[in-house]
Amino acid sequence: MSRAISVEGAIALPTVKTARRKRVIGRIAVYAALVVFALAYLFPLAVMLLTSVKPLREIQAGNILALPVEPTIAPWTAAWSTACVGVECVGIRGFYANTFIIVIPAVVIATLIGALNGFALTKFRFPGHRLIFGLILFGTFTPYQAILIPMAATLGKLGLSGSLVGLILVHTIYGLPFTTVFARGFYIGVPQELVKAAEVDGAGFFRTFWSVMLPISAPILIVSVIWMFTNIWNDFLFGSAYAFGSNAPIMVALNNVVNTSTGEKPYNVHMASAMLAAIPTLILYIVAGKYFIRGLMSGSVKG
Amino acid sequence: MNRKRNLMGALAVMSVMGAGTAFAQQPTLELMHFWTSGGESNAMQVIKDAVQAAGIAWQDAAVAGGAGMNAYQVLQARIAAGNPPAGMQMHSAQIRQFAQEGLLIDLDAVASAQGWDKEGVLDPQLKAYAYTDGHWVGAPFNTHRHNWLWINKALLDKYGGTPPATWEDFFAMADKMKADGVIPIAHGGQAWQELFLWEAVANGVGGPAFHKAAIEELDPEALSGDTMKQVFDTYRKVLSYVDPGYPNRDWNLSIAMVMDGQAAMALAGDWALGEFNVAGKQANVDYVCANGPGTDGQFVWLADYWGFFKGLDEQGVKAQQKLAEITMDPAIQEEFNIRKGSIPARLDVKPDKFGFCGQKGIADRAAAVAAGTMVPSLSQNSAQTTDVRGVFEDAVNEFANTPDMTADEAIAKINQGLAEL
Amino acid sequence: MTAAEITSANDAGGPRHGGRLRRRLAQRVNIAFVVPTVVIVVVFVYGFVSWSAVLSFTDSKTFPSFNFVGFQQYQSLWSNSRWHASVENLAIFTIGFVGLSTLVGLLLAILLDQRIKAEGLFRTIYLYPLAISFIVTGTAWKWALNPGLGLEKLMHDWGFESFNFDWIANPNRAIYTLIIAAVWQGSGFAMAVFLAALRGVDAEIVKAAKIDGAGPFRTYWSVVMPLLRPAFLTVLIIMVALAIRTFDLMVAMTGGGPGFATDLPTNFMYQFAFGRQRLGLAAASAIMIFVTVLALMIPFIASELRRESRDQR
Repeated sequence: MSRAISVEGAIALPTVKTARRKRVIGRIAVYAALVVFALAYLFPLAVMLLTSVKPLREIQAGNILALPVEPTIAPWTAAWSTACVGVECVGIRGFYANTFIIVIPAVVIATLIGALNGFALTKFRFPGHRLIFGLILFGTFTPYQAILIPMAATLGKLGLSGSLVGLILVHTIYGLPFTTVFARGFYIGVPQELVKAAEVDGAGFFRTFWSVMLPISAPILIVSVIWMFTNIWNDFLFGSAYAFGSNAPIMVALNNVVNTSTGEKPYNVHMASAMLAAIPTLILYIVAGKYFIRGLMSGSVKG
Repeated sequence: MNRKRNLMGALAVMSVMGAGTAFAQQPTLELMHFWTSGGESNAMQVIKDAVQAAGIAWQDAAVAGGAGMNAYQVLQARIAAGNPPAGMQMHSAQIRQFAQEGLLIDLDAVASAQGWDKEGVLDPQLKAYAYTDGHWVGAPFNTHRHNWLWINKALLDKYGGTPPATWEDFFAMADKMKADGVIPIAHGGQAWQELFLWEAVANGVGGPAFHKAAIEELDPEALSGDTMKQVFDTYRKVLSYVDPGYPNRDWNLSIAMVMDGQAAMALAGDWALGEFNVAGKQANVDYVCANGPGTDGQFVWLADYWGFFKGLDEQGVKAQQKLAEITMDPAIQEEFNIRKGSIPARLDVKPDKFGFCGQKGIADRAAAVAAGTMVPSLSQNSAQTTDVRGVFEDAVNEFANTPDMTADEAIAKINQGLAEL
Repeated sequence: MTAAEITSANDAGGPRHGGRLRRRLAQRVNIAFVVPTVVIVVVFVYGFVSWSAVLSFTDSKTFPSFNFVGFQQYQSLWSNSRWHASVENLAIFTIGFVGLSTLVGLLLAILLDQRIKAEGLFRTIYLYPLAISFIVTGTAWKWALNPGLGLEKLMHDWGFESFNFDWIANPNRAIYTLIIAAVWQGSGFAMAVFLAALRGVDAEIVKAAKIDGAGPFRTYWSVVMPLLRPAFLTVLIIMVALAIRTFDLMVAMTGGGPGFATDLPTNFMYQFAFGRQRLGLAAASAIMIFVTVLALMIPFIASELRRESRDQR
């Protein structure tokens, strides 16, 4: 973090005193802006949290930011273990494991292949590299509803219909364009010297990638992982269509808890379920954030 | 401690193995439906228990949302994969459609053994869907009534004590409420609710004969006639009594407004009963269930059926037939529908155990079947194919949200949309 | 070292030793790494989309049929006022969402890059909206913006009687409420991409700019921004991809209403394919959107990529 680009440090300094005052004002402004944004971002969460600890009658009667008169954690326990996800009323707790089995391989494979693609497309240019990137890039605009049926037919032919493997495959495939776009956008800014230096040392494509590029790629790998993890974790369309029955991922369960057209709607349980279902993603954001440190490239270039 | 844990582990392994062997012997039905809320699930449990008691494992494949559309999205993907579920909850239009595609098994053997065909078992209109192209293809488990008007009892007493019999009465009463600052009608501006309300107006203004001509038969004269214009104009007027917070309000919040006395009335099917029950409200004490304005004697219906997909082995087909038999069992229909808030699809189930509104529904249906005034619901997929329904839904919604759109323009939209199908 | 020096240092390109043969061999190997992805994308994206394109020329109802009817579905599509409304909404939504998310994301990233204490906390706060499924947050937003339940009522309760915010119920404004909620969700991701890019910027360049006497805004504007160009491209692509796929948010928040005021092509597609047995029409709508996005993005992206290559050369 020591190499953060700091605004205040760049200010030309007429006198030490005014500079210091300016600096303090600058810091205050930065923090004030961050806090204002944070409050705005937290507003819907506050609504959800408050709603999730109120009895239903209070929700229907009151103000959305009103504090609960009779706070209750019953909605949370219901969401965890007794909300109906179909004919079974078992809550969403049983659906984490399945979802991890789908998410982890898809995230790892797509992120690594995407990084390799990005590296190959930027640092070892070959004829047609722009066209190839263009082809991959436009994959990000795939209309998923339009490919739902042919993908289902393909999985059926492969004998993977309804299986976790099939769903992992689907998520990996449609994640690749994104991970490639991320990696390429990052690697293109990485000085070519790094690659050259590695080659001088006799490293081939793969070793250069592994020992030179990957170590400085932490921030973009995190971006890629955040994107893939969040999207797969929160995916309903593919999860419901390609992995059913006991293989259903957590969003199918969450959807069944909250989505009903002619049944009653316990909104407090809905809010609690949504937050429970989001816990793994939130933990990822907190943990992965540690690796959001500055890359090491300038040092390597000089070295 | 350690030993205990090992023992427990061993037991767990054994029970898993036990479950595995039981699983292999038992036929399993994978069943898709879109009923997942507490009350709905509770009702489905009745069928599930009976199925399991008959030695069949129930594998649940519920997909809620979009008024069943999410489930159909999944179903279509699964059919493309050559892997449809054993059975699927369907509305009238879909049971016919999938049967005509040749995807459903026929239930003729169960139907004749159980006498589905007998006089007084099923309403002929409902039967017309369950029995498509000379075969029984659907096992109906319930009937919902569409034309209910739910009224807050205290407010009703304050404003005359009798539910409005016609839309004219409704407007007279609503004007007084509006003057006093009471919201006359709680309504949600969601597409399906707009079509629902419009159809309620159409039934009240035009009656069963008009509904049949204009909506079921799409008769050009009826579609463009004066009654149709009157329906749109009346609908426009009804919309002037809603509160400003109505866009995209969920139907159950409308019902809550009636319970609280914030609003006086709401039009909703008998699924509203579930909300009143959950809140511990009593019919004729806290609320009143009345016929929708102008629909005395009519019974506007929709039904849910099981459709069973082809492709299972002999044992599986037997299990499918068993489920159909269980579904049509009068005792099951009674218990299921008491829990669901609907009434049995069978006409011959005794009404005694139902609540006040359920009993009224059963009695009103019997009268309507006798009088030939059963009306299939357009908004709930019982009167038309889904593409035709969609044309009406879009035109009605555009009309509802375009204040200067005239009835003639809306009618032209419908005609144009139908011509494109 | 200045930015200009860095880019000129890239000029040499390719390994200086080892000769042409080895370089060509190396190129082959590199292509081999990209080939699987290309094949996958060609089959599963372009192949499947082409299948939909074929369907759009048929009268397919519930299931695919191959009874060709020419451009009839496209004619129906463009004579449908709901389709017109949803395309218009998508245009407004995409411009508003992409523009605002980029702006907010960039601002947050720059602010976070000022050696902030508790950076992790702030970052998580800006990112968390991405974590929670819109099936549910849509409901929270719906309430927050509902005049009778949310912000407006809150302000009235607090004594600001004249406060008026009923956009979600106003057909002319409702689409902007979707943008607000979508920016709330998506801008955190834009922030992450920009932050990653900022962390990749060579600190030496910035130091050099400072030594040259550039102020903070000039440092960002004329030294850092040009280096973020690839990140802008990435954010643009991702945000456009998010925008054209927006669905859950709209379903939960407005259901496409009032009327069709917030209806989007994804909903149109979904409704007609799975709720109305009009697969052919739905396919036509999917193809229209895909082709339009391609047509609008190709020239822009092509010029961006050419520019990048020029900069590198």
